[in-house]
Amino acid sequence: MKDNVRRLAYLILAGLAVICIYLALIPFYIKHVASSGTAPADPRIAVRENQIKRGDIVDRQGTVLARSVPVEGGYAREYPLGSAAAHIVGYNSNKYGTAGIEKSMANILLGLEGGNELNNLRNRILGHPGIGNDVTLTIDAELQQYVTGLLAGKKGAVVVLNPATGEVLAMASYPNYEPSQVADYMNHPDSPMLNRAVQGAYPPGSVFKIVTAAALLTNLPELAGDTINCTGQLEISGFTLHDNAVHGSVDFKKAFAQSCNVAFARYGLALGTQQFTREAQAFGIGKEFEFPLPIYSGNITQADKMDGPNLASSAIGQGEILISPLQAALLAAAVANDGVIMKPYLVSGYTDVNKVPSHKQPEQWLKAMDPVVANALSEFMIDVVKQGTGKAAALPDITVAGKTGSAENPHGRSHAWFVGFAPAEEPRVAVAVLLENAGSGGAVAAPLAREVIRHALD
Amino acid sequence: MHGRGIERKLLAVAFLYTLTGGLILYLNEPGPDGLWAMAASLIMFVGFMLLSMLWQSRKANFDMYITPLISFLAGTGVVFLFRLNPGYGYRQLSWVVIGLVTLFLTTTFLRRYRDLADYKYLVALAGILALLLPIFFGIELGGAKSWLDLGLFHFQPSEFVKLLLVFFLGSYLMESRMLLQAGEQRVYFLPGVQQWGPLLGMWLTALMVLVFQKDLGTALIYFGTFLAMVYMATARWLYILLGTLMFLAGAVAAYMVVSHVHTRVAIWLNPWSTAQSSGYQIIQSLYAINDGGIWGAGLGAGFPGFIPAVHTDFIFAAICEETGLLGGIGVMILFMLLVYRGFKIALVARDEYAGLMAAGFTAILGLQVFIIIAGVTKLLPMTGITLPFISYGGSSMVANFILAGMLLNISGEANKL
Repeated sequence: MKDNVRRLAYLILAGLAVICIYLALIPFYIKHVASSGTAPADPRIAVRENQIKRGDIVDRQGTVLARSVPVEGGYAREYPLGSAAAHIVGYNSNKYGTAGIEKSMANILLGLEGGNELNNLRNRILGHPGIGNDVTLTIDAELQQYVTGLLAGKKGAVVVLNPATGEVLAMASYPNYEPSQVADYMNHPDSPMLNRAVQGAYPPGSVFKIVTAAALLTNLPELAGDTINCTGQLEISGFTLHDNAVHGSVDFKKAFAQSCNVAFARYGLALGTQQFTREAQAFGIGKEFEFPLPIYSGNITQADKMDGPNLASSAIGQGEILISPLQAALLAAAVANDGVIMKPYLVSGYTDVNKVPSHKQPEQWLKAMDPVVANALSEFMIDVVKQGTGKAAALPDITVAGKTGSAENPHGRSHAWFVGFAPAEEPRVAVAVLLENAGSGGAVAAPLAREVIRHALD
Repeated sequence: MHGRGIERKLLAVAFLYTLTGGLILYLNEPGPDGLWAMAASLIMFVGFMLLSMLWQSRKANFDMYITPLISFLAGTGVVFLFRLNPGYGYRQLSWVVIGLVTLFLTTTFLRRYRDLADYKYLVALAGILALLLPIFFGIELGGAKSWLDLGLFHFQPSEFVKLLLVFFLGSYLMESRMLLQAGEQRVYFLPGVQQWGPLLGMWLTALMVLVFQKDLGTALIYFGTFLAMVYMATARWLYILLGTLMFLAGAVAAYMVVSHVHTRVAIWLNPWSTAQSSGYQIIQSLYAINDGGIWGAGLGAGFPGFIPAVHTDFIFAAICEETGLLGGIGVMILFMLLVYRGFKIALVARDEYAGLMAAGFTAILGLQVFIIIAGVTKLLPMTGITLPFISYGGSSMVANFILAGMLLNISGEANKL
């Protein structure tokens, strides 16, 4: 019988030992479940965080965008700009979690990271709730509010950035939401929680001709002088590409100003898939980059999977090409900044409790084209606004450079686009305007862009 | 040699351990509750020491590790109950004192436990009656209808029936062992009615507990202990196989018929889909364990209040939250040592009857620990049973002290340990 007892003893002790090992695996299981998104928030984290005075989020002038106010048993978060900055600042809710800067900079805002590490550790050991750091954004609160106001009632997004530094000056997405009442906006059919400016994936339409043009001027400059007869459509191995008009005989300059699809499809075909996709990638299409908000990094068909019709369509911004409004703004910024794309950023620094600021230096991200090509494109873009499709963006006293787009899409009317920069001689702002299913870019997006530029340069 | 030095030294360590816990509670929140938590460690220490001295004076050759291990476990329980809800702490302290008295009575009057063998069928009858009582007169607490309302406190007969079960099975199996093993020659045939009678009876009892008292965990413990003891007595896998198949059949039937069982399994498979309702408890338990990390939040610094029923079924999650993985494994090691000592006692017992009894008592304890902790950690479906010596509860505490007393009685008969 003793052997039986011994065997049973081993079995039971093994069972208990298994539990010990299993206990150590629970955090991994929780992490796995949490990443799948089905798990509710752990209320302990919220309770602990509520005891910490989260830092403020401020704009470039120090205007407060988010602050903590003491309430019974902790702190509550207030958002003075309300829905105007909601997509950037985000929210911090016990029940619905966090989003935006509140999420990506949480460790800084909670004082768990940054500032005096020794202080943080001491506070943790002693159980003293810490005091968070203030985060400074590149946003201009006043411009942000103005841009949001312009966009109100329309579905779309506007991005304003400084092409020389990559600082995002304003970034609006509509429909938007009230960060203090997140619950009302979850599962809404219009997706107000979606930040269309950085997460939207849209066909760029003709604004993508900036990329095709840069590729052409870089690789086949001799073709820029040739004239092309535009009959309103183009046949490519059985596929018919339609133009918006019959442009007749066009050279490169006229093709760009009139946004001639036939001419640009032929430029694309002349470049070939390898050269074309390489240039698109040089503009950052499909390239991940670090940003404090979740981003859509763009899509382009791989060169070896791109056939003739796809290449021709891609050259005019259709096909399988998808970009976000932020990336569209970067196309204009590349031209404005002599071909160099600065890494876009939103957080310029943070201040710890001892008021020691940290400051982010602008960083170069990509070299999209030569300065010579950029300067030439700049001239063409000035023409678009002076006498081409973008006339509605023109301002007195300020030279605006731009490119319109009316992107066909499977969901109804065309998306209206305008990207541009001003003043063209010494660009201070680059903008992208996208209006979902609003029609022609020149008619709808360009006038809105004009107001944004006017206000941004004020 | 009747000195009990090792026991006393270990009891002193347990005293310091519990006192530290009480002191932390007092420093966190100075007041009478904290003082009583500290006093509790002293009261328990004095109680165990008195027993130790009594046993020495009687020249009892009891195992010297059992009571220190219990004092560690019960001390952990009392400190955590004072931390979770001082009201439960005071009551738990009194239950530990009553448990100590029970231990004294058990080691005094049940030393001649062999006499019980003559009354084994009476024991079985008493057990069945005790199980039937709650079905007719019981009240439902935490989903299981296994409680009797005795006015002053709630009494859970099933905690004591598990002891009667070991008494009965020990006596019965020793008597019919030859008969049961005789079937060995005709292993391909079903054993006769004498053999499968008790199996069927046991199976029905477990099912009854499951269906009428809605007590999944207790049913599991009964049946598991039954199989364990049959195996130890006969070493016949056929019984185990048959028993397991019957149990599975019963479990599947219960799953389909009894909504309570169905719910428990559904929660186990996916608590996340019902995170705000039925899945809430187990999710909060997992979050608590996860939050504790390796070192724990510290005694008093966690948020175990988010777990419903944290003072009874889910106390282990609170221990993990505040003392971390190390604390949780520490408690597991204490239980493993207790189980180890129990089986050790079984192996050196004077005769096979004593050995079988000791092993049965130990198996029941080990199974209970496994089932409840596997439940609160989502390794198995949750079953509402107590964590021995730690969870809040009088019936459980007293029954487990009797169990420990029986192990001591059996160890006392052994020639050497």
